[in-house]
Amino acid sequence: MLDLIEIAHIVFAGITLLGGLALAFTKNIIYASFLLFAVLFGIAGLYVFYGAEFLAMSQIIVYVGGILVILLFGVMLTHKLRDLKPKTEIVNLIPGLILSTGLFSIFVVFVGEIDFSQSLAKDKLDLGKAVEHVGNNAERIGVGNLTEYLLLFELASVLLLVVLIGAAYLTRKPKGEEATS
Amino acid sequence: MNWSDWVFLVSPFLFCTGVFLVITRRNAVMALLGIELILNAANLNFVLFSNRETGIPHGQMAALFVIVIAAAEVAVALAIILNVYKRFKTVNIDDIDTLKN
Repeated sequence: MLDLIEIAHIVFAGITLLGGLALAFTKNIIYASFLLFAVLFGIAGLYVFYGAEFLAMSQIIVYVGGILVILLFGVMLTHKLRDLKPKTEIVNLIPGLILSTGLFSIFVVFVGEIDFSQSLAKDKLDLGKAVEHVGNNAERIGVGNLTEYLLLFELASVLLLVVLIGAAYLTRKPKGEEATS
Repeated sequence: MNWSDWVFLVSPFLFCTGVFLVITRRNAVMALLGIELILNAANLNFVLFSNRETGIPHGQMAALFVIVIAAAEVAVALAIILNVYKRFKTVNIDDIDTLKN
């Protein structure tokens, strides 16, 4: 029996999986960046079904709004746009296929071995119930940030500052050297 | 195996896709996309197994910090890639094989 929540869940999982599959075999880097957008958006949708609305919003804001724009900048700065050929070839196709499908079949076997109905995740599969129960996700994460995870929180802010300075330092123009191109 | 267990196979699939991308692409930006996929697969599992009823959702906290680290990693990696492109005029990983001179 499929109700509306389950159908929406399957749709978001399908967006994620199909996007990932297409991402694995596309050669155009621009397409790949936008397919990554689809995958990240699908994952954000899945987060909502798993009771993590705050994470879904931060996923969209940070990944889709930030990281993807940075990645597109990287693509456009490292490929001459006059050539208009932002393509890569696929190398090591056979070893890559063997390794990734082998890894995935190992995961499938493991997931098949585990009896999730006995475990912690039992009521998590009951998605309708899970969605009903969650109401103050952001509040719980905020409390966690300022109590148990306070040190990590502060360290993350310091890390972001260091990265900001470091990235600006790495991409600066050396003193006295003019741009060659 | 219950058929509703397909939920647990989404993140292994994304992980394997990321590994495939890292292996089969020579372009540094594409390898970076693969690494992003791997990080997101780990995140998805963290969120899936996090407690969602009461108290601090530890899995979601872990995923949140992974997002922060991923943002930092992408910024630094792209700065390095731009530097490499300025010096070698390519971002093909196989061509970048000199340490000095």
